[in-house]
Amino acid sequence: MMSRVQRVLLTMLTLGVFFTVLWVSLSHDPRHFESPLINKAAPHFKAPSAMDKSKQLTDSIWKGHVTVLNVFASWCETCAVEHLFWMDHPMPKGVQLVALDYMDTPAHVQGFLKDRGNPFSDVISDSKGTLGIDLGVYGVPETYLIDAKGMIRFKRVGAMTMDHWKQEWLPRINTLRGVS
Amino acid sequence: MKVLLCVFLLLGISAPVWAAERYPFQDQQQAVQFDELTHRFRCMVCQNEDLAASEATLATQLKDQLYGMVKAGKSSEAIQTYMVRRYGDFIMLEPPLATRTLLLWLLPILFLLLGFLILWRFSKRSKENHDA
Repeated sequence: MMSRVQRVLLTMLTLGVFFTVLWVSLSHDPRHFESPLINKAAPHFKAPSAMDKSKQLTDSIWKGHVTVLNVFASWCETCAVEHLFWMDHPMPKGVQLVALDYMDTPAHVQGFLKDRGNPFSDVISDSKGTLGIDLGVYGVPETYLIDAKGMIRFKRVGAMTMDHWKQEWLPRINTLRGVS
Repeated sequence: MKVLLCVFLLLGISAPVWAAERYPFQDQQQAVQFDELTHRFRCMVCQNEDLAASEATLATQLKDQLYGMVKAGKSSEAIQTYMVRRYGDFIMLEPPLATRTLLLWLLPILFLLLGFLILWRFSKRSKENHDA
């Protein structure tokens, strides 16, 4: 049989393990989880530009540049707030900021950008949301980091913030650009 | 009052009829397949609901997508692979049984066993105390 000391230690150990597991699991936000597309190729697509419907865009848009792809919509309030961030923080050299206009119309997004300014080098029109589904979009605004080979490297669900940009995105962007 | 009650009841039971109107099937098997699939996947916006129950825009969009794939004759397995590839395991309401989810499935059972073990030791100890 165990001594009293041994019993107390075993109890404490069990409780310790239990609470550690609880602590770690409860600190994860279950609403946000890692995209299964990280380190996979960004999906193929063919869609018109929302700014010029005669211009066809395809996945070649992200070959040869580091791309920050912002998924937003003119009907999304949080996106309107996040838009100020994109206007205030131009991309580092050689990085392009492209937008995906999700389940929206070119007329609406053109109005949105006319009122608020257009920081995007191009806007992909995804009025049916098919590219959004292929990207696993579920909560606009979302932002993807795509490298020069078209591989998805990182994703943020929810508005971009200064802290997040500085701590999580700029270091990764710089790695992809080949600078430190 | 009674009239109001009847109206509400009628509205409630007619909901599946509206769903059937939005997603009509000629083939009864396909209708069953579609219904099963909409109950298999989680609505990513209202995350405790399945796609069947959810009114969210994303849920409707995904249901439209499922409808197209079922009509095209895709198997449920292929459709599930399609969804998991884009949204991850979390889109399954029931997590798959796989090596990566083994801990998820086993931990509750392990804790339950641990609980029984502790209880058993307590009852043993109290018996010993009574005998002594």
